[in-house]
Amino acid sequence: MPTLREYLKPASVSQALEMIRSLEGKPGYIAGGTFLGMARQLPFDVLIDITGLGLGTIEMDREQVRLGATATIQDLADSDIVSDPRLMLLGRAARSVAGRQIRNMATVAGNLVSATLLADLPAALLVLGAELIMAGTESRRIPLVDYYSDRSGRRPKDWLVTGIVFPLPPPEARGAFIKFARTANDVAIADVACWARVDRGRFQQVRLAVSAAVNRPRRLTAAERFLENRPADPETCRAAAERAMEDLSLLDNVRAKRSYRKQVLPVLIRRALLDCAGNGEKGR
Amino acid sequence: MKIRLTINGTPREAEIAPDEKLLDLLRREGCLGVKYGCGRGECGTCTVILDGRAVKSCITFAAQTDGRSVVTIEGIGRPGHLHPIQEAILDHGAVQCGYCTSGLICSAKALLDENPDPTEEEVRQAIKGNLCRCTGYEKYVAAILDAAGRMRSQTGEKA
Repeated sequence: MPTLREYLKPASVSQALEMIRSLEGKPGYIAGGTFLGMARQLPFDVLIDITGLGLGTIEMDREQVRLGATATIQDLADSDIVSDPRLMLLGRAARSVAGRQIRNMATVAGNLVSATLLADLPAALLVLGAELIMAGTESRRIPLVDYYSDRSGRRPKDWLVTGIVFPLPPPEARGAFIKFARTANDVAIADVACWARVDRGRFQQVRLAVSAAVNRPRRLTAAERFLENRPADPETCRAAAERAMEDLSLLDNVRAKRSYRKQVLPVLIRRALLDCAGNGEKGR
Repeated sequence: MKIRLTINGTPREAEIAPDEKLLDLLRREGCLGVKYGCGRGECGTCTVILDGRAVKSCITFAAQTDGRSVVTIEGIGRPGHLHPIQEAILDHGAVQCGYCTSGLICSAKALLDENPDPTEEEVRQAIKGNLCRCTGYEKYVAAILDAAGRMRSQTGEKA
C-alpha cells in the first residue's frame, strides 16, 4: 500500500485530467474526502483535489436537474430543489446520510461512485434515472444503472465524474425513500427508494431500487414489471416485495446478518410501495 | 507541503505532511480541546467548524483546509466570558463525562449561527453526529434550545 506523496490542487478540469494521465504511481481524485479520510490505508499515493474546479452547482430547469460533482450532500439537503414535491424522496435520502459533519464534506457524486457499499443516495438516484456526466478524452454520460450493473461500464482511471443529471419526474409521480439503520447516525442495513405513478388506482411506471443491503445498488426490475398496471393496494405491494426478494443476493456484514436482512427488506419494500401508492400510513 | 489557514481568527502558515489530518494539525498548533476519539469519523468528538460548517477533523485532510478558516472550542468563549451555548450547557448540567462536550458545542454553534431559531428536531438532527457516551442527549437538546433563546435576545438587545 502506497503512502501519500503529494496533494495537488488543479485549477481546471483539463488540468485534473492531465494530472491523472501523466502522474507516475497511483494518483486518485479527492472531493469531500470523508471516505478516503476514514481509510486506514489509502489506495492512492497522490491525491488530486477537485473541489476548486467550480463543480459545486445545483441547477434545475423545467426538464432536468443537474448536480455538480462537488456539491455536498448538505448542499443538496438545503437546496430549493428538494422542496419540490417531485423530489422529496431525494431530500429525504440526502438528510438520511450520516450526521451533519459528514454531509457538510461528503459529495453527492462521491456517495454514488466511491462509498458504494455504505451509500444511501444510489437507491434514490437510481429510481430518478440519473446519469453520471464524465469528462475524459471526450465528455460522455453513463446511466447510473449501467454503472452499477455493467462492470465494463465502470469509470476508467483517467475519467472524472463532473456531474449528475436526471429528468424531473412528471407532476403526478410519487416518490418514497426509506433508510433502515441501527441508529440515527449509522450506515444503513438497507435503503429502499421507489417512484411511481398511480393512475385510476393502478401502478404505472414503477421504479424500485435498493442499496446498502446488497453488494451493489440495483433496480428491482422483476418487481417493477410485476407491479405494472396492478392495483395500488397493500396486497399487491406485499406480493411485489416477495417477488423482489427472489433474485437478490443479500449482504452479510457487521450491520446485520443476511438472515436478518431477508426478514426486514421485504417489509421496507412494501412500505415504500405503499408510500408511493398514497397509502403509507395505513400500510404501517 | 505548506498551507495557509486561519485558526480561531489568527492566520497561520503550517508545514504539513500530505496525508496529515486536520485533527493532528490543530492539536500540534495547541488546540488540545479538539479530541481524538474514534479516528474514523463516527463519534464526533473531534468536531470543528470549517468555514462556518461543522466537520469531523479526524477524517478531514489538513491539505483540504488550505485557504480556509477553522474554529475550534478554543475559539468559542473564554473562562469568565463563556459563549451562551457554554453557559446554557452549564446551567442545564448537560456535561457528564465530558468526552463529547467540545465537539458538541462546535456542532451547536454551527447550527445556531446558521439557524438562530431551530426546532427541537433540527437540534437533534444537528447533533446526531456527536456521540454522547453517557447518553445524555436530552439535557444537551434543552441546553441548545435555551442557548438559541439567549443568543436571540442578545442580538435583540444589540439591535
